[in-house]
Amino acid sequence: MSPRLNLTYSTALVLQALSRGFHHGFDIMDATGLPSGTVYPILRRLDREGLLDSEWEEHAEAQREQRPPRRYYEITAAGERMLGDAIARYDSLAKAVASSPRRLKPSRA
Amino acid sequence: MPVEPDSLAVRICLSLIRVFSVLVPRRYRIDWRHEWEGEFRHRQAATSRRAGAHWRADADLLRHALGALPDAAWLRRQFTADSEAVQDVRHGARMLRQTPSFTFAAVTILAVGIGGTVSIATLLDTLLFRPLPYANEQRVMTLWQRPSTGERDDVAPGNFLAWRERSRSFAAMAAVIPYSYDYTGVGEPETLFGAQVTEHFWETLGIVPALGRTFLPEEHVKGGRPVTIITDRLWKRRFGSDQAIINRTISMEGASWTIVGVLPPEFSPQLLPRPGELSVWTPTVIQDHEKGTRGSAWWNVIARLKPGVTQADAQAEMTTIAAALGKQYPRTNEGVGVQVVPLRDHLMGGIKVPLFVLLGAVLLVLTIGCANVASLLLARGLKREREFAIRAALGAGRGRLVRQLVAESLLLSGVSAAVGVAFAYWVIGVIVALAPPGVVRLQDAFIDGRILAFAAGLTTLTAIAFGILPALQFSRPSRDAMRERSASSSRGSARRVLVAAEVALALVLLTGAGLVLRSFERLLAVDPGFSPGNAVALQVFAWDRHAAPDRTRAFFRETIGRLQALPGVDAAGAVSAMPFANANIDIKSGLTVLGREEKAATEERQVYLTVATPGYFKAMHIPLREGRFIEESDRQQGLAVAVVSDALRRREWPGESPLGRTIRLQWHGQPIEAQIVGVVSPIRHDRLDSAPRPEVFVPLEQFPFASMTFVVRGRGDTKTLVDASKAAVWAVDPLLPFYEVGSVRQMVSASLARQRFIVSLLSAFAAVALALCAVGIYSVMSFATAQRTREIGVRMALGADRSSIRRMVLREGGLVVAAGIVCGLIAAAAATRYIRTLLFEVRATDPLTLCCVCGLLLVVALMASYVPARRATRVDPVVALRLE
Repeated sequence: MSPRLNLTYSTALVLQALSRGFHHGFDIMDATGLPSGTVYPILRRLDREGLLDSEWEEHAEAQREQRPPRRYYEITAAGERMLGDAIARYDSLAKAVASSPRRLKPSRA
Repeated sequence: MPVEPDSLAVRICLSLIRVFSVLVPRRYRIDWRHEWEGEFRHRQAATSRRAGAHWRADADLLRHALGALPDAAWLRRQFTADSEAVQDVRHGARMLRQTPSFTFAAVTILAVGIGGTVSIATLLDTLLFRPLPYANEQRVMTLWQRPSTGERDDVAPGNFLAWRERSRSFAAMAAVIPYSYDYTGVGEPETLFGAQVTEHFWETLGIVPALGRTFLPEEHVKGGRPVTIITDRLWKRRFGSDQAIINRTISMEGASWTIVGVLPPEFSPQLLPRPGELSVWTPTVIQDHEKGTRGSAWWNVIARLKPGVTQADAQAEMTTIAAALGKQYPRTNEGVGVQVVPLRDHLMGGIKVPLFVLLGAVLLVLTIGCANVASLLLARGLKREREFAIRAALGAGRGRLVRQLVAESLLLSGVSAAVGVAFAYWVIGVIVALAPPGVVRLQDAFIDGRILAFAAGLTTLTAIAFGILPALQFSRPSRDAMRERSASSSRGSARRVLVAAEVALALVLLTGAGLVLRSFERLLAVDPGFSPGNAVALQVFAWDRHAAPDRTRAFFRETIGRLQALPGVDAAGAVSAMPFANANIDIKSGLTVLGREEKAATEERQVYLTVATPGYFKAMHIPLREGRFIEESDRQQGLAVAVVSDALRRREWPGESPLGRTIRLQWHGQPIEAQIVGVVSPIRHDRLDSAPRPEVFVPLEQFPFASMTFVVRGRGDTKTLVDASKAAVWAVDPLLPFYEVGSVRQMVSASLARQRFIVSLLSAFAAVALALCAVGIYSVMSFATAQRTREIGVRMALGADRSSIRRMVLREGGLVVAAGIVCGLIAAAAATRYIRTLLFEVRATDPLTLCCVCGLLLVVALMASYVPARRATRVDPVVALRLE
């Protein structure tokens, strides 16, 4: 049985969020409104299928904010193609995710 | 690492992640944890900088953390083929998701039980099994004097020297004397707490300084160079962890002391009061007069057993030595024994029994919780009978069905344990905050691998406890289960037994809590012999700054004059032994009553000698029984006067008045005669449940003494009064530091910390048990009523009125509860024996407590079954019959 990815609406939402510039697990949850227990398995599945790349954040940057580094996800070209299919299938998808990341970076107080 | 401490929510999230990460395949585990932790920490950093509703952000975090479980489970699934066991777990998880309210209720109930048990177990583990930071710590003993009448006491210097010389059981013996040093550097004068130690103290404990060395023999003799060893904390606080600290000096008591060592950070000598604040350690020089002091006891003694010598051997030897000393010095040592207590037992500060009682209590809560969940499972199982019947019909054997149900139970208890352990982190914090001060090691409590293993074992046991009954019942589907409705009376009775058991267990717990509560109430009603009112106390040790008798008199005359003149002050005075103070100078003296037939020297008995000024009695509102208080006119020139406490009067002059009698006391080794002019009510000193002391009060003017506690009674708030009083004393001597400062009421209240600790925790557990019980009764009764809708409909159709239906339902509930109460009373009679040592003036079988507890349970049970009973009367016969 080949592990074909089932393009569910939730999966499409996550792809959409990635493509709109949300790169971290929690940000994707905020952007899509999906619970963490759904988002993470989707990310792992997308990763396995090569639809996204993941990397660890630069150590120096995390150090500056005095916290451990976060994991960074980025959509691949294959992922973008998949998203194209998805948009064709789900009309409402385009409006479902905010168009640019809401900055949740700590602001300099 | 984050600069600010993690919030509670983040701590809970991180512990959840840690627990869930067990599921993740090993080679991804570290990365997986880092990923989740990274997100939580980032989110915390982001939200902590924004003002506003943090609780909402916290709730979000917790929700996200729970999502880590499906993530971990998903990863696990990728690497484990779906064996039958996994199928069972997945099926179980699906079933639990389908009934979220049941799952939520069961997880909450079990998590409270497991979390509570894990937290108490962690604390006990810390106290009983975690090693102390001393080499071969099990050989370190503490030694105490034990008068034939009283509780264990500190040790007199003369006795310590005799013990050290005569005993053969110990490799080393040393004394430590709490002490304070006036640090007169910059700013307000500060008191540095510390201790003086005799030779071999460090070897006895097995402590090696982190920097420098211990004391040399020549530093323990008169005229030796003043040297000190400081603690890690002081080194960091005042000297910025300076590596070149050795041989630098610190200015205390107007002299400069050379620092010869810095102690390791883990050193915390909990043997003395205020262990956290002790910061300067100096070598003691035993004074000549101290060598013969056997009456006054204020030293703490530790000793290290020689290899191969047991505590019992040492105790036997010390008892012999004490008996010999008793013969040799009958005046002071008659009947004074020695008690050898392992350091570890001493450090537990009387909290061992309470913690075991609490462990018992929390296990009862867990058991009640299990009964509750078992009962819920039975009810839920009834609804699933069709499912089981279908599976059986499709070929599932009984074993498979049992496995399925066991998997569900394990899953339920596993999730509960994860939540429970996270909850335990929080509970431990609360308990440590509530714990009586002095049990310092509690703060070191943390959940480690062993505790997690314990939690895992507990979880399995819990799953068996609540899962076994339902599993056995439902794996044998009844033949007619496929039909729409069937009466399962046997299953109903199993639930009733469970509820009765819950009631019985809750009764035991409530009785325990009730007894402890009654004891506490009795304790609060004890008359300490004074009334704290709005008085504040300020302790000073001025004997070095105002040493000469005339200086002492002048100093206290002037300070007390100023204190009395403060606005809003009603009375002010000073006393040498302040009731309920942490550290006191207790002066003991032999007492001879003159004029009485001169008896043998052994008849001369010990009394506490307390130096006081006239204002002390007024500031403390000490009631006068006879004669008069000490007055301003009792000056140096006149005949010495004394006021005795009623406890002493009863001992020495039972049934007669001591007024006008002359007594002989010892003062600085010299006999001095004083005439008794008054009797005051007996005063309790250390604890409300300790007997009042035989005490003689003498005037400061005639017995100058400079280590005193000012007592100021006034109007207005404590802080203002304390500040004004400090200022008044500093106006006379700006360099005098205060040792202990606080309101008298607080000092009395602090002595109740241990009781308050037990009362609050036990009551909390009992309340949880009661609530669980109510839920159990309610769910059983409402389920039973729902099942009997048709029967009730028939009854009503045949003419039963509402009140008779209600009575029928209530009677059923009542029977179950009554059976539970009867069993509970028997169990309580057996169980309360174990808390007898925690009770004060209340018998373990106190009828009032038992009645109240039974009444409370009955009322709660009645309320819990009243709602279903009312619902039963609302049954519309037509509808009920149409269901057929």
